[in-house]
Amino acid sequence: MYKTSWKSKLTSSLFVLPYLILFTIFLFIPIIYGAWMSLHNWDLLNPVHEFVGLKNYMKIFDSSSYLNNLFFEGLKHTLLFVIFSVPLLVVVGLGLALLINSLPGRLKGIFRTMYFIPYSVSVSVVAIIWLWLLDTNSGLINQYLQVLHLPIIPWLTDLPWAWVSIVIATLWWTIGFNMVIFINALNDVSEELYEAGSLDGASRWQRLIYITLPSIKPTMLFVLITSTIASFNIYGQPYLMTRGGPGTETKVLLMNIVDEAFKQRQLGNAAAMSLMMALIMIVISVVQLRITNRKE
Amino acid sequence: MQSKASKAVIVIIGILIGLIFLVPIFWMLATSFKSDQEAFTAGLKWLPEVFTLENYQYAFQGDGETPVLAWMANSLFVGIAGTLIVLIVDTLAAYGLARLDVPFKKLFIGMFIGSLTIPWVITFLPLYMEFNTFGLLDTYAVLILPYSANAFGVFLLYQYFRGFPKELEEAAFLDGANKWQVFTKVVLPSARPVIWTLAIFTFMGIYNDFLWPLVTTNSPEMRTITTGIAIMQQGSFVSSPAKLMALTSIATIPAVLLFVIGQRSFIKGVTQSGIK
Amino acid sequence: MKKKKWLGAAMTAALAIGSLAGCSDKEAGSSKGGGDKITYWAPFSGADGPRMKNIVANYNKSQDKYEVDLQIVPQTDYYKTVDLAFSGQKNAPDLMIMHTDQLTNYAEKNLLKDMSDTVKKNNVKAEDYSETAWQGGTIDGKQYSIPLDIHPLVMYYNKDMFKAAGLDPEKPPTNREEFVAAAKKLTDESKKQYGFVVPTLWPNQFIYPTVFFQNGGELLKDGKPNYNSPEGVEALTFLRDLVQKEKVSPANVQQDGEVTLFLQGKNAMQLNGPWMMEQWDKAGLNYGVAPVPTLGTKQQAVYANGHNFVIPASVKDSKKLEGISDFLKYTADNTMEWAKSGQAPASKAIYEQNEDFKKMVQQPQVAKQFEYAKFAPRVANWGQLSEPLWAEVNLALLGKKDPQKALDDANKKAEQLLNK
Repeated sequence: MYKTSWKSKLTSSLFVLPYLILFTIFLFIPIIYGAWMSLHNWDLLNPVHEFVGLKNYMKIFDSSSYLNNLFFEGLKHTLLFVIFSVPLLVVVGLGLALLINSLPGRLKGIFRTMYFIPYSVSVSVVAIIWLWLLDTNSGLINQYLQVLHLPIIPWLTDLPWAWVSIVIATLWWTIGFNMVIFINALNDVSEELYEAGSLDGASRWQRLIYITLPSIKPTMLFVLITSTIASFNIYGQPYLMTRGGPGTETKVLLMNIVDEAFKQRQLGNAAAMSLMMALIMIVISVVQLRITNRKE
Repeated sequence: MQSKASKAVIVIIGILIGLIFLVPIFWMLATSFKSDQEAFTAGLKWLPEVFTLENYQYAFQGDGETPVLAWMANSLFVGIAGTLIVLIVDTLAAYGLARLDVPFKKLFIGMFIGSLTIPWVITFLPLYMEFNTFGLLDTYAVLILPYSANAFGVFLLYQYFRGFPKELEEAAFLDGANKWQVFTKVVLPSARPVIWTLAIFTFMGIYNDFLWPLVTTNSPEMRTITTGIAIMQQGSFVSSPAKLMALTSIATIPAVLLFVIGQRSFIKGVTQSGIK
Repeated sequence: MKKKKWLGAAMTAALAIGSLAGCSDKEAGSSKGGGDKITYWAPFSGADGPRMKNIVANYNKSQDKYEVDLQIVPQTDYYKTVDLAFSGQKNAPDLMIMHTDQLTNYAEKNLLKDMSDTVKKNNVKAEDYSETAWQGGTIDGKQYSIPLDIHPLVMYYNKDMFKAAGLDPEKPPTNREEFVAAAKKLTDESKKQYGFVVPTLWPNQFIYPTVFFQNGGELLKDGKPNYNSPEGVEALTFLRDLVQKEKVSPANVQQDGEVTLFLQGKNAMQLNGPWMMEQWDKAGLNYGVAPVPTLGTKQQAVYANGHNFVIPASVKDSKKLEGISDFLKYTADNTMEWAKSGQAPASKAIYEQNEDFKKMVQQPQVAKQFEYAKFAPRVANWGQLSEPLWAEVNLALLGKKDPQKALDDANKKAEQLLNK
């Protein structure tokens, strides 16, 4: 489209340059630094950091090391959460966006705000609110269950309920984010497509499947990937709501990494674990991209 | 065409779902008007028996314990400054990557999107050490700059710009406009809704973050409202729920306001692009 | 036109960043008083914060040679912040509070100053403090810390509930039999009211070791984890039976569940730290405080932690050190203010001699336990070694694992941690 002269390339590069600088200073260098750390026996309180090569990584795969347990148990719990939460985050987010779009015009804004409000509180507040609602012995929900003569539910101390609670709190807190992105995308689907669709006598459901969904595919992919990444990074909800319990059943990978870094001060181990985690996330994201692209 | 009845059904469903979102928030507000004692023993009583403003009074005076206004000012400043930087830098980069002949484009895109998957723990300490080296801990710089490197905005805008119809740009180029002019005159105005979306998310991300501001600042006058709340919440292990809820309610206001204001622009942007 | 606009935007951004960086120097030279400034970090983000602030303010008023600047870092992020300060070698405070169970870790890495000489000059002596507390800071003959307080586990009970159940509210249980009998009397399942709600998470870090110690057990033996010793299994079985056999507690208690029920008047007795006092006061509960009953089978004992003053090893300025010991001396004599938060200061001038202290309700009960209080085992990574223990205790108390099996597993994991 453009002449790809060096001059054009130069001016085009200027667009990317400011971000590239910030990216380099505040992300790239720290990541490299982190990778460097992962090759050391790096105790935060010890001024001498012994170079150990790949030993920290080997420990992760050595079943006699505690790191092995810490990493794979944590990973298992994180993956469980990803599997429980991501489909809901995408489907419910889209569902809410469709619901809002079919509301009469004046109500749209009100409902959008209503559904979005929880997103504006911080995770500690989310935890406080839900702990009070879900408390086994004195929480609102169980008190209502008692009034209705239903058995009370150990929301935070038993499986699968602990996961149910964490997923509910997460949905409640973050679904507004995906919803807003979907609303944006739905508004960009051109009217003509729909008009053509209704002329052909397509039902609502058919219009959704054959017109809406294909037109918002890039957004679906975006939401899918960002939700997966966000769910992988789960930390605050189990940390504040269940403390990883019962036992360590909801102790997710990031909790283990943070503990290893800040409680045990073993930055080398923690850095190796984080890089492994990043690697897994990259693989999953690439797979998601590939699969969705192949369908085309 | 929708019938009136089906419209009513949709509205009712919308209200029911809305209740799920609002009830916990309502409970937060209701508790903030109770005394701490009542908050603990309230059981199923939602509304305060004795309506009191003491929690808010405490929050705003609090013997200097909770300088809410100062915290709020910090949070707003940090949030707004950070968001502005992100918006400027991210729109430029995303447009460049989506549409212009930037060298090493694929590499950059891969790098930026890949960086999204890096868990924050890995950059947390190196970043801290970086700022420590330059003596910038406990300043506004440390509270703002690290957020500017997040690739989320670039990813979001990149996706948007890629789906943006090329005809408009091409017309402008044919009229003799250069890249900057096309970007500012044609592309940016039409991207208003998505830019607002990014603004809201960025602002809230910065506004609600708490571990980073907590660790990198140590003087009380540099604290943000979220760290302030965290400090109050973690006080003596179990806190005064009503006072905490008052603080939380206060902290929630700016974020909600921003969304309500942003929404108008959001709709305007949408109608604009509808006209095209 | 457009170019100008962009230039403007860029300029504004540059200016903004510049002014941000500029802010850093602003605070550097501002010290209110004229004296030498001593920065002092403490994790007192709760009810105890204002107390410490008063002590510091009073000290600053009492003299004008030194100016102590107290900075409060929230409890849960305190050591994170401390570690970062130590690792950066910058921004570290001159004086700070450290918990007894953390001392070994920092002392072994030579991060703390041996305070023996510094304080001797200013007449701060071991005899002036509780022996337990002072010993807590002695490692290999060196004194790394000066105690502020000891906070052992204590028992709180609801006097109104005692009366309603026909128990004497002035005579709380003192041993296992009395405790279980009282708890049974206080339980009324139909009213959802319980004698002793057994927490499954925090503060088991205090409760479980207390019963363990009372059984005559030791958490570590010869540096090896000893969680699954008979004493340990007995302690855990006892706690679990309170839920399953005696049924004086509901099952599935979540984080802080027992506190909420106590505040609602549905939990008659609870074991927790002295820092909870202000909560109960605010809630207007009619409660009593007592030393922890002997719930174990062998001896009187209680698990405790403590607040201590320490100086980072990097502080070398002799004038500063003088100021610090001057402040410590002042604090030892003036910690009545500290006692008001519910804590019992480790200074004998207060807990043995001060009449006002003896008239207080909770604090003398806390001090009664000083003599037989025990701290966490002295290993650098106790935090890490104990992590599996709390997770397994949680599982056992939730009824998901047999106590013996749970403690075996905890022991195995802790051994693995030792072999890293």
